[in-house]
Amino acid sequence: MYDVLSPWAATDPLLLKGITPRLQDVRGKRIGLYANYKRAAVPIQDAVYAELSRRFGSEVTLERFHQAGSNDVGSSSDEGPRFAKWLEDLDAVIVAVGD
Amino acid sequence: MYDTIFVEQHNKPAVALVNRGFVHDARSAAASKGVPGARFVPTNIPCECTVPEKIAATVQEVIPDVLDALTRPLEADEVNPQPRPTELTHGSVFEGDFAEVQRFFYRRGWTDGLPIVPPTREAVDEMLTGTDLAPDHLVGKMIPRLGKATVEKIAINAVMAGALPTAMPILIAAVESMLDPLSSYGIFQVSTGSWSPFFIINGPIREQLHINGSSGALSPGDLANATIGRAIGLIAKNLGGARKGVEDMGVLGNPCKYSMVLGENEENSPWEPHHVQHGFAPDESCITVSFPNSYVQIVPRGTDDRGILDSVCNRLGKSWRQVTVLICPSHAATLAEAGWTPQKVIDEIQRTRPEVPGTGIGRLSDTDGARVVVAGGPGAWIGLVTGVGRWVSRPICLPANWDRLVRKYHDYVPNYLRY
Repeated sequence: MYDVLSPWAATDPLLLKGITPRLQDVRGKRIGLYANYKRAAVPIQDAVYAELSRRFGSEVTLERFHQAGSNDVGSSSDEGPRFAKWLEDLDAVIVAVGD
Repeated sequence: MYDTIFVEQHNKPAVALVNRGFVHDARSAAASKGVPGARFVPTNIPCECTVPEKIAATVQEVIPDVLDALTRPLEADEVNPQPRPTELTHGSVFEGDFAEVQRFFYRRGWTDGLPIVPPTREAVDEMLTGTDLAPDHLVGKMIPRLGKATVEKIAINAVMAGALPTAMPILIAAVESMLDPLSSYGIFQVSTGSWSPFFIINGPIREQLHINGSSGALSPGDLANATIGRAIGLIAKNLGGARKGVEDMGVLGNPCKYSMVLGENEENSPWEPHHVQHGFAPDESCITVSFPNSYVQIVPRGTDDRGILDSVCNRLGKSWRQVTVLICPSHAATLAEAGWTPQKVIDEIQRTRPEVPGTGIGRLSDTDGARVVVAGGPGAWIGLVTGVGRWVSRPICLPANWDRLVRKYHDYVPNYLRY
């Protein structure tokens, strides 16, 4: 008989966070369009931009951000602060992932 | 999804467009960051899609879902997410006979598909004789779960892989090398590109552990080469928590993830060993990791120096980014006799590449380009191990009882019958 130990790693306790309350309406709001580093991300961002413009015209303001590096943007010392700054004036963000 | 979580953590409502095949990955990534309710919209846009019309048509279809995700009021579990069940991480987790242990581990997803050595307290304690570090010493936290890679957890997985205690110093250095941000392990381990850790070992520890750098060095059959790589695979899975098709999104996978460990054939090299070329002392043991995803072998069209080099350059073509060239001893001797050093070989390979191209699939850390390692036995084959990242080297720190430990296991070698 074998009495065996767990190979699975412990983790630090994770503080769970709820997501941010949603908008009543996108009209009159400033929407950020974020594209990550993947090849298809910017074309997806372009398509979202075009579709929102077609639907809402000047009723929404659209702002773009393109991540150049492939690391986790929040932990990136150069892109993280720039990304956080970009977020400040936005009401919501649509993230385009290339996958 | 990390970028989406970043937005939510800055108190802005976010929604991500995610390929339908990455739904589990998206959920896992959101949960691992503590925001399990993060919203995303699955799409049918092909991964890495280059067809704008296809993207536009699909975006048009999903825009109502995107707008819904930005405006639909939150559900209770999105406001106050509840903790999820977790694996047992401490102490004894199961008791049973050999077959029952295999079934238990396999069903939990804790193996690489092959039978494991049961990690009993006794076996793990023996494994821990391979290091002076305390069992609870934290080597680092491994993505994507940020699991704590303690010395004891490394030892448990090393036992499962069938490694000897003498492998512990290498495994600890290997984890350190992978966790160096320069290695980009955090990307490679879970990438669709199925990148595999490739370890080059230099220094006296090769002979002490019988790490093969000669005939068939990358084939199965050598305990150290096989179990060190296997242990790293288990460590990545059980400490990092990268599960196939959930977090590890390798499209095709890579058999090298079972093990890709090589000792440099320093004794049959005309040049300074690889680690000495990069600042380590000759009598220092060292490990170097990179994350290639392809390995091809070629026979040069000529056996003089130009025949060897032209074959390498032609096979690589113009679009490679990182290559470890494995030169067999006979070719190394030919090149050295003609005045070539590893650096001159590297310069020649670089010269034939017009520019460092982008892969079109994102920008990883800039690459060093090429390295030359002498490996293999008699014969005339060259190995080209290609990737897109960097090499990271670490010294291997040995315990005080090292000589005694090496003597204890040194005779554990296969003795083939001479038929």
